Amino acid sequence: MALASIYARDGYAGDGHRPPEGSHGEHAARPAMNAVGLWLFFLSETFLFGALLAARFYLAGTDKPEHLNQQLGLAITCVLLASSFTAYSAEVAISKGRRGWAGLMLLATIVLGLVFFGGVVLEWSEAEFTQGEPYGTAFFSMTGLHASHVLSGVAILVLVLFLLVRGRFSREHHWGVEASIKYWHFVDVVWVFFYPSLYLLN
Amino acid sequence: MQVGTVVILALGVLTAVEYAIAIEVEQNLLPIVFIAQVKAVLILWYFMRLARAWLKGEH
Repeated sequence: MALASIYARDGYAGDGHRPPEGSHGEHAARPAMNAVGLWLFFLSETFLFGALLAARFYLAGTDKPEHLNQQLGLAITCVLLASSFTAYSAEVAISKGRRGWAGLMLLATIVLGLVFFGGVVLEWSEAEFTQGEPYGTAFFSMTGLHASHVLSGVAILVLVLFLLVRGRFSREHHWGVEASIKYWHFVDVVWVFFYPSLYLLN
Repeated sequence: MQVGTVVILALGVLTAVEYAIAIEVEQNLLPIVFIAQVKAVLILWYFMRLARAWLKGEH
């Protein structure tokens, strides 16, 4: 669905199937349907991440290990928040027709996403707990699933950047950019809850 | 764009406050959950434009 949204231009999936002439009502409704679909997708993802969050407290309460790398956790959180800002800047830029700046901001978002992913990999490599412990189970499940979403977000943004460079999006028609950036923000919102639950709660 | 700048600054400050509370306060569940919710609302409302999706429908 996410890929279909990206390829959508004028609200239509890029499969060459256009509505028949005269069906203007449906034409107007299609972009709104895309948006509803995207928000329903976010809702379904919320249940998935919410279940993991609940499992963290069920398995380990509010306990956390002594030797968590707090500085690294804070650093990657700041990186992800910064990437939300660059993504937002890209969306604002394309809505004003500034495709060059939008591309640059998308590139910055991709780089920041990769830095975040690198931080998670580093975190995994230096963790002093195992997945056999209750906290370790929660930690690796939550950060692993979230990092996979970050990686898929990066892949989607790379595709969007490629399409942007090829002139696919314009000030009037940029649903693909908007949808992919909304997905990126959603991944950020998930981390807003995962970060304190894994690192900060006492 | 100015709104985005204000929001990212607010998110940065809230993250710093969250971190400080985690270091300094023993029983920190409620303040940290509250701050996380405020951060999520800021992102949803301003970056994801939830208001536009909810009230007007998106273009």
